[in-house]
Amino acid sequence: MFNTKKLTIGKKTIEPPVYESVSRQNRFETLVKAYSNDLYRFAYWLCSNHSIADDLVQETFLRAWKALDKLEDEKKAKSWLITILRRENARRFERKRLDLVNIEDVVVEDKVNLSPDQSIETQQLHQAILNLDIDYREPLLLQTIGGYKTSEIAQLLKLNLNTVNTRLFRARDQLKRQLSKDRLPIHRITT
Amino acid sequence: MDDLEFRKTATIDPDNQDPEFLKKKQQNQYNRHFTHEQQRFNQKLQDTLTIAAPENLTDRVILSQQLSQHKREHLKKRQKKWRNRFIRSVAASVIIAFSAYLLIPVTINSAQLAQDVITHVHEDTHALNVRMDVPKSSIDTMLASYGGKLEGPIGQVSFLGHCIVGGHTGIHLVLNTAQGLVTVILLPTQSINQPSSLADSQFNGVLYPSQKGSIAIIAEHTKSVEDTRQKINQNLHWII
Repeated sequence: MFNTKKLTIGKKTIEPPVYESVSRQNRFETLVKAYSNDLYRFAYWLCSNHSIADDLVQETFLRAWKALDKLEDEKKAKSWLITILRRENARRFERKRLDLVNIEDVVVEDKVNLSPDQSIETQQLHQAILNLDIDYREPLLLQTIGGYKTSEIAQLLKLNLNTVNTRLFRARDQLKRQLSKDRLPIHRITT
Repeated sequence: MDDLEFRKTATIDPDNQDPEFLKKKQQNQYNRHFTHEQQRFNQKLQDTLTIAAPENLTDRVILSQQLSQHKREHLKKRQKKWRNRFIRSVAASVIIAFSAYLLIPVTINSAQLAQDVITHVHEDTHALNVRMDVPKSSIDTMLASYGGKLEGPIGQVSFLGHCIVGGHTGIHLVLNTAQGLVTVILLPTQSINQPSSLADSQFNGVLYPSQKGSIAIIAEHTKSVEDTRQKINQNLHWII
């Protein structure tokens, strides 16, 4: 799909530069169209902030553009992009650690930006997901948003398969517990 | 598959298609109900997680990439431009420096050059052993290549050749005089500030500034040095 026709002159094989750049651009745009929404969701649930999620997606694709030639198998594109995004997110924390600021100067943003049409239960689930420890949240996101099998998640996160299964089980268990604990406040909210 | 394993699998992945899991699921009402509950929860989870991405996200990502690409290309062009300018200026400097090296006589320490001349005379034994009668036309031709000209006779020349003294080229002549052989080394590209005398156990001589560069005259006897010096000064002229 993305291959360009190569010219052969003597022993040398030359890729026409114009076609190559057009093909590279097309290839990139196809990736953006196919995966930007999923990446955005993944980023949002990782960092719980829409604006940061937006930045993470932009940064991820910029890095992907620079390294596009390294992507040999299109089937691995999504995992590749998720790996870049996770690295970008980790870098964000490294930068944060370096930028020491006075805590009083920082405006703390609401953790959840909820829309009014979301049901109370969805809002509670939304908050419960964000409250999950990142070790539990990440495999859950990869499974639910990414559609990955547990073995693939183990590969992506460089974890043992049993560890992934345990984390997925505990993540769901914690969410269910949180939801049942939150049932009482529902009345307080609605009344 | 035992009950615990079944519940764990159903919780993690209720849509699991493993035959053992499917068999266990169909085993009783409770298992079917449990799996169904997990599927419902999963759906809820899926719905909650599927937040809407900003509408123009794709366009903005592509735009940002194109701007970045444009910026990179612009930067590359600028770097290339500056690199070319730098290369051109370095090349120009090298050409100018080389031309200056060729055209401008270099002023160096005369004592050091005097030593180099003596060393050269000792090393170039061939020049003193040759017994030729070099025609005036050959001398004129060689002198002309440095912009020199003989206006009158300087005596019999038994050797004529190019030489390199102190890293610079010059003309090496040996005159066959009544007092013996006298070596004359013309160094048009090596200027010196002041004359310097040359002497060792075998030779005596003088190195002195000339109209162009410098001249060294070396012989075994001081008198022949002085006579040759007068002849050279009277008859050798530099026109360039």
